[in-house]
Amino acid sequence: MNQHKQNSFSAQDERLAAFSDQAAAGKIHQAEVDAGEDLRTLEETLLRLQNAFPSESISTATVKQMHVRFKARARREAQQEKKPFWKQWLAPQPSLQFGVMLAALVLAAGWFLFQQPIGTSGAASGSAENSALGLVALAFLGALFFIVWIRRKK
Amino acid sequence: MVKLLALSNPFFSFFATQYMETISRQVVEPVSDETLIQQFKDGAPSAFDELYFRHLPHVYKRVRYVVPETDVEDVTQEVFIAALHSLKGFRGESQFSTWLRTLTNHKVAEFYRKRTRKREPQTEALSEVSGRAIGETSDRLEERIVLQNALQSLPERYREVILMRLAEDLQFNEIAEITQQNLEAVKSLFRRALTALRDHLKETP
Repeated sequence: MNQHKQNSFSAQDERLAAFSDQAAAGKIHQAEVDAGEDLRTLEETLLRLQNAFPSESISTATVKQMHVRFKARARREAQQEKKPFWKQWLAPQPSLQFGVMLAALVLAAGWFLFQQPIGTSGAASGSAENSALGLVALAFLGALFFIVWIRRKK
Repeated sequence: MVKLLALSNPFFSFFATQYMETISRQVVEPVSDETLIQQFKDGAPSAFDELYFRHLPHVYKRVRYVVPETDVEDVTQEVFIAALHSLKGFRGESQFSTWLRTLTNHKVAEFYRKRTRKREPQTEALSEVSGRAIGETSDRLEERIVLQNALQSLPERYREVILMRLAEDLQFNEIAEITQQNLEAVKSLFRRALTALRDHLKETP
């Protein structure tokens, strides 16, 4: 009895698969008349699915339009995902960029230091002010190097 | 030119034949997905464009079977955005198309999760807005919604075999290869899936 049922299901599997192939090829548009009740309703369900959804592929023009929109969206999302500027500055920099930035800072600091006249004569307050400014600049440079050194060690 | 040289010089003919074979192979055989993925990983973003053009129609058709018409493009684009972000981590343990199919299923599931969270009504907006958008009859769109809901309610392996056969138009032997089952098992699964769908549709008013 079970064997008979099994054979019946196998036959149905094959017939339904063949029906599906023919329907996909556009050779069949309605359920087979000689099919049993069960198989016929399955074929009708299959046709119902095929008729409801367009079988043709999307056109090349649509694909191209979608691609343009995809690129724009990907670009937009990439921009939104960009790190905030302070994170970018703190992140380890590529060597060339880093070198240029460091050189610029050293030059700026040097220029700042040598612009201040370190006089031995004149007002004592002026001299004290100059050396204080120099100390601040040196401390700034030292701190900068320290931060950079820590970051590069990682 | 190469042919002329080959005719005039027998020594050259061997190399010329090899050269011609290489050229024709390059013309006939498209670049494989694996090669394109490697190119993308090596820093050629245009390789992803090629993958996009190659796989978009399949993904689009698959999404169209399970997502309302107005959201098909959006969900499809989500799939490719996700692919773009995670392709560098793709290890090639499965085929790219299989990987993309899994990604598509995740995005469709995500779409329905979001929609449930928003508690959008299931049919009301869909038939009207979609109908206006693509100029199809509301009857056909209603029918599509009924079928989409029925498909969504099926167990995953049933839905999968129906989508592979009908949406992606894969042959049964191709499905068997992808799912690593024998042909008879796939045909049997297809019949059982359609039976479940039919029974679900019978219950739906």
